[in-house]
Amino acid sequence: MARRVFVRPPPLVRDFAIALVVVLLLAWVAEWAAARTWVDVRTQPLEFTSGALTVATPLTQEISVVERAGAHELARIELAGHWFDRPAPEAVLAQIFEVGTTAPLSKATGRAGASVGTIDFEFGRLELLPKRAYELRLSPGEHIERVPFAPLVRVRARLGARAAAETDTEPRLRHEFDIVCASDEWSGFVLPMPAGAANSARFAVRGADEQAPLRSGTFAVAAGLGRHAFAAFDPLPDSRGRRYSIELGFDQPAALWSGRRGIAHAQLHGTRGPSPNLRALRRAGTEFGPLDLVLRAEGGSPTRPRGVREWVGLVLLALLFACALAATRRIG
Amino acid sequence: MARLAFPPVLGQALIVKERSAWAWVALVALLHGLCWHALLPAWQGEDEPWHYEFAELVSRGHLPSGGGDVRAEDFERNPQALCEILRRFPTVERAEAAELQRDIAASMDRARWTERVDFAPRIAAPSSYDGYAPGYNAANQPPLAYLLTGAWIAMLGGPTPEARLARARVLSLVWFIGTCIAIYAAARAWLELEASALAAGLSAALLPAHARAAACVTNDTLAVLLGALACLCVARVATSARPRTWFAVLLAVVAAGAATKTTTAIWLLAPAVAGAFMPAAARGARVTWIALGLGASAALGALAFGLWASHHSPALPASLDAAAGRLERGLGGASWLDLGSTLVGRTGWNTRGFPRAVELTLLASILVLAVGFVRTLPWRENRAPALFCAVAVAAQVLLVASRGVGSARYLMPALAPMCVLVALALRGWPGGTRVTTRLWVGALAGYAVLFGVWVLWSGQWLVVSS
Repeated sequence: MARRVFVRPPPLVRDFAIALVVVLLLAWVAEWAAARTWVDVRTQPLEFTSGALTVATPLTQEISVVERAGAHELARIELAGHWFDRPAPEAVLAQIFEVGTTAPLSKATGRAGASVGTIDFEFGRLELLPKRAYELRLSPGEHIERVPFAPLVRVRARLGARAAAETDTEPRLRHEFDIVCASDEWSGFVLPMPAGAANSARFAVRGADEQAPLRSGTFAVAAGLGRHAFAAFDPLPDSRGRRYSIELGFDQPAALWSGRRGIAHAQLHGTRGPSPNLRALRRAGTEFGPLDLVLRAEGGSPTRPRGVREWVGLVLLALLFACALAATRRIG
Repeated sequence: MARLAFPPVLGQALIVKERSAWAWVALVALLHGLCWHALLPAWQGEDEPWHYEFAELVSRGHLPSGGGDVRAEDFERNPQALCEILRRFPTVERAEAAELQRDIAASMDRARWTERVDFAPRIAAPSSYDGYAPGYNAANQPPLAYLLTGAWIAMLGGPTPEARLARARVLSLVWFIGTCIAIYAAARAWLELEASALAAGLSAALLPAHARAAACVTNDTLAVLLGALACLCVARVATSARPRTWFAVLLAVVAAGAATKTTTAIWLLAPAVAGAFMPAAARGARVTWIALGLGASAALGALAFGLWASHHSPALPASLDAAAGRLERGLGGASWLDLGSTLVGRTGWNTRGFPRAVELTLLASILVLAVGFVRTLPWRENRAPALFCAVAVAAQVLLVASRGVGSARYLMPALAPMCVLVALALRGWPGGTRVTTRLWVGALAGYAVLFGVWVLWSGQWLVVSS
């Protein structure tokens, strides 16, 4: 009677099979490791429609990631955005509700986050159940009427010192630029600044084609890395869609920039040559987006949208490994 | 007794015993490139929207020019990226350029670009992608890569920006594979031993920081290919029976490199070096060839500088003070860390990757290779390629430092000499070239897989939104 005998698979097939198992294991471990860290729910950025949190107009945000990913313990929420440094983060109250209910499951008072412009809320261990809808509600704390906030002004680099000065290393004392406001009640701005010494500045906000400032004031800039200049003023009503100019006068030379490192440099030299006068131009049309705010909740597991393409990518990685080994087998 | 073979479908399809080594390099490069094509979302190549825009305009029949002045009132009214494009493309109407920028911005929004790039502002699709990243543009880049990509897009077409982008990326894959083969050939010419050539070619194919270029629309990919071809030409001038032909090819390659990107600048010196490498039989007068090479380098350098200046290249410093400031930044610790970090590999426009400790550990492999390389220095037959490649890599590193921003993609035009040095280093380690090469390639393949899963697959895809 004939016996059936299995022979060894070719080395390439064997390597591919082993690599595929390793790749899938790695993918599983990567997912598991990601579940241990922050769950980023920035996919639903918070959209502010006014220039302040008030008791009557709190900000609410559904936490859909929790709903999809199953039961979790929500430990901490971080709001990363650009807020006024006045009033203090303690003025903001965060509450978690089950949608449709009025009693909060938990509440936490804000405290300064790890970096400029972030506020942390510690909830303790709060269990959130699957297939339930929850929402986060931000409002002023007790005995506080209103918490102003500021959209981030993304300053064009060539408005900054590097673009406007004679050399890259010669920051200017004065900056002036135009913006189109996207807030209903514009009440301040935040300007990203590179590292530098402490500084202070005067600002004046004018309407388009107006000479007299609508709002003016002073603000301080702390020394160090990742600085931001915060300027707050009384809200300008019906400001959305209107054009304003901002004039800044620093006591010490200062640069303003945004975006990744190096762009200021590229920006300057991208406009030099035949148009040297462009350095002195003011910029129009800088847009205000919604407040650059990030909501991240600790705990839970990320559920990522995987399609056929991504799984094919994993299989290709395994095949790549097997073929690389096969290529070295040529060497003997 | 009946023997039941292992299911032969895969085995017979994939096993070809006598396949030549360069084909294996090409196969590995193809697979790695395809991995990136599968796993890298749209617009996640660094600066890809701007590169694509340039090529897309070419595909519509517009040709770039050096660019003239821009009127002040245009800058007052329009986003800067739009002004730069209008300056570069005199035949483009403002409405068409603005619409293209809106389309690309909308596509970036659909691809959830802002959620994958950590420095990005969290805004809805702006009217121009200037709102995503103010002032970015590719309009001041030399035109060759865009002319080729534009022709490619015109040939393949596509109904949506996403589809056209995906097809344009295929050309980058072709260039990537060509680069790996050229590096294999250069190492084969310099080092002769097939194991070393395979080590060089597979190093290029398996390095994630290089493979990323296979799936991005960018002029970097062509610049790396031309750098590899220039290295191959120099090697062939020194070793081939037809050195004059290779010298002529070298001139064309170097000129093409200058018309592609400023990061290929070190290869402007290649004709001078090749003149010195000319073998005795073809020398005629040794001094003549050296003088010819120097003259060619000088002429090409002058042409390149003129081209870059006319395109307002950001790589050219505006003054000596500015150059000194850039060099100071480029030699700083932060710049070196960024260079190392991006050489290990990052995604999300360099915002996501391995933790810093892991990156530093992986970079330590360079020290291991360096020890092997030092051990080969006394070997007489390796001196010429070792010296040439070491100087080329050092020059490229200096070029990156002079730019003031440490990024591995600026280093990649010297990938070929880097890989030849790796192959040399593997020769220097005890155990024999074959053993060290197999270990190295196995480790590099494992690293490519780890990066692909951990950083690319896990890091680029998003938390569910609804």
